Amino acid sequence: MTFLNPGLLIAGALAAALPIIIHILMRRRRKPVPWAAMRFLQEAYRKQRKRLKLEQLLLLAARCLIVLLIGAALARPLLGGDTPLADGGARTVWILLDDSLTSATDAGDGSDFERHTQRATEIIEGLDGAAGDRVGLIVLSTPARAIVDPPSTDLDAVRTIIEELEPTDAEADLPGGAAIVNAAMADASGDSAVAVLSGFRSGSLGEDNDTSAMPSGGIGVTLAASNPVSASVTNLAVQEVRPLRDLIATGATSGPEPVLVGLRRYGPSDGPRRVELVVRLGTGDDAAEIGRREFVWPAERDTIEETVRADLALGLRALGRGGRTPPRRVVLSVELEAPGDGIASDNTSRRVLELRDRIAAAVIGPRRFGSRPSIEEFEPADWLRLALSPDPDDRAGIELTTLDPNSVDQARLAGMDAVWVTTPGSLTANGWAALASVARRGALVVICPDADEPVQLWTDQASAAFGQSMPTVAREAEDAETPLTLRPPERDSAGVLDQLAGELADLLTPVGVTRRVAIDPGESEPILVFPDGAPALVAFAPTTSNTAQSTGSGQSTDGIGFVLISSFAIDLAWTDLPAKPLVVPLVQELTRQGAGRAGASGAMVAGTPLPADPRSTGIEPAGETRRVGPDGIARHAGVWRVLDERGGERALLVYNPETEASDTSPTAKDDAAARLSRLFPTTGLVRWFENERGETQAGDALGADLREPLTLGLLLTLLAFVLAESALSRVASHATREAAA
Amino acid sequence: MPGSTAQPSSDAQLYLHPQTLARLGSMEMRAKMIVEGVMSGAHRSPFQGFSVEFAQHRPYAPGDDPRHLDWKVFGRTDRLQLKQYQQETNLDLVCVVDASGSMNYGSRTFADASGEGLKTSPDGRDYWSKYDHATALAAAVSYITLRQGDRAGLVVFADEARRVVRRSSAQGTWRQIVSGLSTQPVDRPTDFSAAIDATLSVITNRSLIAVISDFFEDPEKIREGLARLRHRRHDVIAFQVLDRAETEFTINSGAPFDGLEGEPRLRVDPRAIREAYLEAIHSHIEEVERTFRGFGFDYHRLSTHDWLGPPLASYLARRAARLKRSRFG
Repeated sequence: MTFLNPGLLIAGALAAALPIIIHILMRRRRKPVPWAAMRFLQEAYRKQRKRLKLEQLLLLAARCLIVLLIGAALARPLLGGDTPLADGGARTVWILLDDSLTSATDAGDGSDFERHTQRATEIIEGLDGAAGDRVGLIVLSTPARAIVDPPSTDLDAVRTIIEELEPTDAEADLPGGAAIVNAAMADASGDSAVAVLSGFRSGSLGEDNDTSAMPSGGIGVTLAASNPVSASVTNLAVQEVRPLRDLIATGATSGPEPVLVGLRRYGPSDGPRRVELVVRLGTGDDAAEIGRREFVWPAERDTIEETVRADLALGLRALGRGGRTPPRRVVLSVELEAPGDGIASDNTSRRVLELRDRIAAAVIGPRRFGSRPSIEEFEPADWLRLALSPDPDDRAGIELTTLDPNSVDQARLAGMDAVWVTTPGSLTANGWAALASVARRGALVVICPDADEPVQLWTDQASAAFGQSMPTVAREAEDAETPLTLRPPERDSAGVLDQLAGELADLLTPVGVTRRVAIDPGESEPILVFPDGAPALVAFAPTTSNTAQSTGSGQSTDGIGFVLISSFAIDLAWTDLPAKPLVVPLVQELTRQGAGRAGASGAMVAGTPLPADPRSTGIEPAGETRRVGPDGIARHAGVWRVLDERGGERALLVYNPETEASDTSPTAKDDAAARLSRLFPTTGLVRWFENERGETQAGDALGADLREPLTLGLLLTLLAFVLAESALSRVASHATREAAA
Repeated sequence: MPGSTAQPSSDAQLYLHPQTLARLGSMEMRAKMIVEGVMSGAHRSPFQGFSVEFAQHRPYAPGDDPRHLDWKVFGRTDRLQLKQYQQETNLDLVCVVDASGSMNYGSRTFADASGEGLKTSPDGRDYWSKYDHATALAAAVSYITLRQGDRAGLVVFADEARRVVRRSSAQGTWRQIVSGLSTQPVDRPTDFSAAIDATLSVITNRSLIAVISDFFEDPEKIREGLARLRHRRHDVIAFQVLDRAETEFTINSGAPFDGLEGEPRLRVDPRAIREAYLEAIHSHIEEVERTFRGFGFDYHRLSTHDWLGPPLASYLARRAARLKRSRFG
């Protein structure tokens, strides 16, 4: 047994001597009564002596115990027994601290996170490490993780850890935190407390699909929580940044280009509001402002899209100033300047742009020597060369190379941004390995069926090379009775043809496909589909080779590299596409956007794992504000540099704030309580740290409940002793007999 | 309060209240048993002689005085019979008063008991002790005895005979008795047997012995003393003087008890042992009474909270009537 206030126990033990002292003092104070009939007194006393002494002893013991029990009850004892507290500990308090993006909400009187950390500090200060009190700390930013587990008695160290915490840019993972606590207490049956410190704004609660709560364990656990915030705070957030292209051919860049910015407002509107968007190009302090737009946010609209004209050439000149070599990749960031906004860190969003003087593209197919063939003799490689380089004098565009399938190796593919494969059946095993390698380094690979082969025998080799993320391609081609038209899918998540979106439908109309190989897309993304919904062109990211080896699943991709598989060959025997106007913009856009997508790999969301194994690929922070946890998960927005095995830069990764966490709307108290009750099913009703009048009652909500069982027992015992003493003293005083007499 | 060891006042008038004397004036102290008096008086004598009143005949035995032969009987029956007579003698009263420490207890205020308007005794006590009551009683019976022409004497005892006033019929004897009582310290332990021995040593003829005490003594020792008195053919009247507080034990204070005869201090809640105490003391009182009556002696219990006159007058009246019945019946 341990006591939260052992001093009071000692005081109680000393005070237990009071009845004895009072008894002694009373004996001394009373003047003796002279008595003649002593022989009869002594005789009566001799007869009653044993009973009287027993009565007196019991009475004295009861009175001493009453005082001792009062002291013990005030000392807040905690029982051991078969509870976790028996391991030498007293109270175990699990603090679940909301450090999500939502917790950074500042209504002008300090952020929610500051209040959470202050509350956590108060809770810890109310504990006594010397008495065995322990604290476990779990931070809730996705994915929730235990910072202090198992709970520690070093309260100062825990307090220091809390003081060093900052809000992240990830959303809150309340179910994950609950799962950690429930798992930790799964085998416990004693007294513990869980303190959930969150503002319970909508961004923190997330979707109510809790399945992680564990029903076992935690019996007798007290659940306390900070009160849900009641004030709604206006928060503006940048949700999306979409430049015209992700791959910039610097040699062909001239003049401002549009950057589409998606914005959303959470919370109440306080009328039309003047805000400003600033576009910068650059990774760190050397970022240059390349565009700015001031506009009025209408009061009635929560979601708007604004276009900012950004002068990429200006930014690229700034990056190349001083004789520096312009980087191959650069970060485009858009910042929303809105003073007094609820959350500041979700006002910036980033995107990586790939920079090239010229796009290096290769076509793998039979090389032609001598004079240019006639149209009737054109093979798929010829059509592609023509589409990729329609004007031989265009030196600012794509630098095209033709590679013989038998000669494909890593050396020849090194530095390629895009590789088109027209004769996959002719590739050797080394060729497939080289293709996979260049794809994983951030290049686009487009595979078309072998136009001259009736059976596609390369699919197995391709699957082996690109991993199991590759869709299944049928070996035998099938002929269509009537030419099949093409159309974009209903949902083009890849977005590589966005630049053609306005004219794409018209360009696709005259195109017909008469032969195709069936593709089972699996999890790949269709770019074009046939009228029957079958994919005509699909995209996928190659599986990371080391990940596939380490996990054995082969299902993980790092988001770097972009592979397209066409269900038809660029050949007149398969389709009339080569003869249609679509072929040039289609091949050009697929090459440019695909290459950009392959290298930049898009934007990540804070709270998701780094998309590569840091040990093998050498991910390093490229700026000042990036942090990664010991679990390899970046919870803060920022820029990461992905290195290859030789230390060269392979890609840049940007992490943007989780916009789902930008919702600062308050949650009703009952809803928050219901949610917590589902997450912690064995803890009973949630107790709030503040009462209805806004007064802090942390001790009642947390500490008092911890000691309640034993204190209540002691108080009941005390009551029993008081009653026993009362009855005993009545018996010992012989008042009844006297009255009867 | 009790516990004082100061000597009682020598003021003899203090212990003979006029009301008491008025009550006792018509009473005579009559010996229940036949006593041997030195003067011819109102009391029956055990000596069957030739004087006043014929008692009985008995056969003649060699050596008997032939002057007491009843010749008329011899003439009628031809048997030698001696005439025996019953002689009335003077009464010798000896008051044997207990002056042990236990007698120095009293819960009645002195002002209430003295009847003289005094709030304290001459030695400063504010309570009326059992010894005060015994002194008054001894003074009363001595006064009656002396007034009817009999002799009265006194033995004051505790662990031994502390003071003796020889028997005398002189009127001044009464003052000597009261003086002997009131000047006696009341603080010694009790030894009833030794006191009886001392009394017998100073009484040569049969007497009426009035033993005045609380009799807080071992009943066996009382029995031994009474046996010796009975053996010497003395008549005994036992006056047991008790305080109401002793017989009712209404003390509620948690204060310790100090014995008046040197007993060790006793710390006990009186309420806790009241029942057992009352059982013990009443058992003892009954035992004492049984003991006295077993020897054929009179026993009379007096409370210090009662006036002395009425109960004593009542007792003496009953005793006189009983003696008269036994004489003529």
